[in-house]
This record gives sequence, C-alpha cells and structure tokens, in this order.
Amino acid sequence: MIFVFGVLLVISFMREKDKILNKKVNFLVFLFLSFIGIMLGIIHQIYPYVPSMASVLEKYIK
Amino acid sequence: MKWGSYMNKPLSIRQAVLMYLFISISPVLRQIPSALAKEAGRSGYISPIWATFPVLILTAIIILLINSYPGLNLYEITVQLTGKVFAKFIMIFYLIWAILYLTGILNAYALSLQFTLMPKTGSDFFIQVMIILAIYALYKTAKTIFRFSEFALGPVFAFIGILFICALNRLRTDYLIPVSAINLPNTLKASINVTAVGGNIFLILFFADRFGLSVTKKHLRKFWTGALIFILLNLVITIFTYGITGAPLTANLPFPFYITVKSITFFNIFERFEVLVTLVCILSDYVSVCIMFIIVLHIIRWLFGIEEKEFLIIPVAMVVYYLTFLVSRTQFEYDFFYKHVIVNLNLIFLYILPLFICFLCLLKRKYIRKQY
Repeated sequence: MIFVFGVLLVISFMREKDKILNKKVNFLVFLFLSFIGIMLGIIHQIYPYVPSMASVLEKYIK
Repeated sequence: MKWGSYMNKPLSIRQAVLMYLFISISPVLRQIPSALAKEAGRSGYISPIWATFPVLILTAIIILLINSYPGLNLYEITVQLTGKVFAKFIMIFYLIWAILYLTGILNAYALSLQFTLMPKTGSDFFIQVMIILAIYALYKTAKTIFRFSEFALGPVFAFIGILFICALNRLRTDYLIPVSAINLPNTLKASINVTAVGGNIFLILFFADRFGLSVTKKHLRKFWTGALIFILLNLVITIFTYGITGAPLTANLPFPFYITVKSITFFNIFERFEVLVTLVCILSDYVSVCIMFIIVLHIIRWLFGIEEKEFLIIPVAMVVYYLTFLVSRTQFEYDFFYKHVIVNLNLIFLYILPLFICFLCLLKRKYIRKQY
C-alpha cells in the first residue's frame, strides 16, 4: 500500500502543483504530512506487528 | 436548479442535524448496547434517559454559541473568545482527538465487517476500500456527504421501525423487568457511553460558518429535535437488544444488535435482515469517516492559515491509514481503546471544552457588540 500512496502523493503533487507551490506554508505542510505518512508506512512495512497503542495502554492500565 | 449550483449552496441546520443522527447510528447499534449491559446489567436500558440531560445541555451550548456568533465556526468563535494563540492551542488538541477518533471509527468498521460478513478477509482490505471511497468523496464538496446522510437517514429509520414492529412479539419482558433500585447508580455511570456518542452533535459547530447569518429560532429548534431523536433511538435499540438477546449475552457480544436481528422474521416469510444492519453500519461509518476527515482537514487549514484543502487529502489519508494499525488491531484491543480512550476523550472534547467555551461566551456576552 505504501507504493500506492507514494504514487498518489506524486499524482496529488502534480495535480495541485500550483496551489502547493503558491505559498511556502502550503508546501511545508504538504511535505511534513507526506513525511509523517511515509515514515508510518515504512514502520508498518518493517514491523507489521508492532504493539498497538491500545495494547501498550492495556499493559499500563491493568 | 442545476445539481452543481445546488451543491454549492450553504449548508442548512436540518442537514447538519441529520448528519449527526446518521453518524450516531453505527455506535448506537454496535457499541452502546454491549457497553450498557457490561456496566449496568439488565437495567442498562435506563441509561439513555440519564444521558438526556448532558446531551440537552450540550445542545443548549451549541445554540448559545451559534446565537452569539452567527456565521462563525468553532475556530473563529474560539479566536473571538480566547485569542488566536490559545485558539490554535485548543485546535491542536482537537486535531489529535479527531485523528484518534477517526482511526477508531475505521477500526470499528473493519472489525464489524469481519465479525458479520467476511471473517476471512483482512481488516487492511476493508480500511483501504473505505479510505479510497472517503478520498473520492472529499474531492467533491462536503455538501455531498451531508446530502447523502439526508437521503439515507429516512430509509434507515424506516428499516429500524419495521424491525422493531417485527420484533415486538419476540420481546421478553422478563429480560427487561423488574429493574432494581440498587442498579440505578450503575445505570447513571453507564450513561457516559450514550453521552459520549451524543456529544457528536458538537461536530456541527465545525461547519457552523456554512449556515449563514440568517439562523432563526425555527432553525435552531432542529437541534433539540435531533438530540431527542438520538435519545429515543438509543432507548429503542437498547430495549430491542435486551428484550430479545438478554443483558448477559449482550454484554459478551461485540455486535449484539446484529445477533438480535438474526432472530427476527417478517411474518415468518422474510428473514436475514442482519445483512442490512451491517450495510446500515457501513453507510454510517462511511459518513462518519468523511466528516471526521473533513474536520481534520479544517483544523489543519485553521492551524496553518491554508486556504485550499485538496492537496492535503492524500497525505492526511496516508497518515490516518497507517495510524489505524498503530492504534488498535484486534476486537479486544479496540474494545479496550474505545472504553478507556475514545469515550473519555469524547467527554473532554465534546463536553468539557465546549462548557469552557460556553463559560467564556457567557462572560464576554455583554461585551459582544451587535456587529452582525
């Protein structure tokens, strides 16, 4: 799925290029969100069974 | 009138209230009966009555805010009341909550599909389909989603009504009464589950700028109607589930209403209505996902002062998709997460913060100049 999202990000960038590059903040926010998304995607690819937030919380609450 | 120009018209309060009812359907069918049965046992169906008070108070808060600041949305109202810096600070917390809530909805949707119709299909497939459909809807206007809930709510209520009529002869009164006074404190405690879902009415304030300036008392009355219909729906569904399945079994099932509907037939001719229940939940989840997605995009726009939202859709969808797996995976994890995190966060963000905003509004009310 990370490749699908990667392609979608590129398509989205090409389609909305004018809006994204129009203002610096638009570009930075797009870059920031894409970076977080890609990082989360890589983590999911490398460790698909990484303990979820709910299971970690469960350990501490119980 | 052309369809395109119709979709660009401002949003009506009626559509917003119908959206609230539509997104409430899936938690009302899926989570509330079992949560009430777990915490209050056989008396759990009384809890929606207690929840009437906080939901109506929240409705009064929303009406007060819309009356005091017509044509402004939640962020703009918060800016007026607290200043830009503090408003952005509040919005960061709302953003975190909205993303967590959104991932919770996605998990609940995938798990209920696995439980009901397709147990062998992986939850990631369901989430992918939902994300793709949500992305498609988000590229259209938000009005499309509101219109969808407006059209779909009537048939859904009619379906629930027919089910209720078919189920009347199967209701067992010994499952419902007698209710012991000893259980009343438990019903009060359990009512937070209903309250947490009922708080969704506050989401309307995120779209309040689209109502325009000409909001009359007649329009605002629809909020009260919406809140009361929500409570009534809760009562009907809980009585329905308890009366047929019984409280002990309801407490131990992930989707008790589905099992309840399995035992219903229409004059011993038609059966298998449970598939339609799953469909209703999917539709409700779809609208919830789209609305929460729009709220997340709105908050990001407000935080960074961005005018367009289209280029944010794919990156946000990517973050939400992967976060869904990081938040919870299994039914047990999701139940834990819903009970301990989502319900409490909903109470904070849909009741306590609005109460704080309302308090500020009341303090500043006499200083608000008649600028509208």
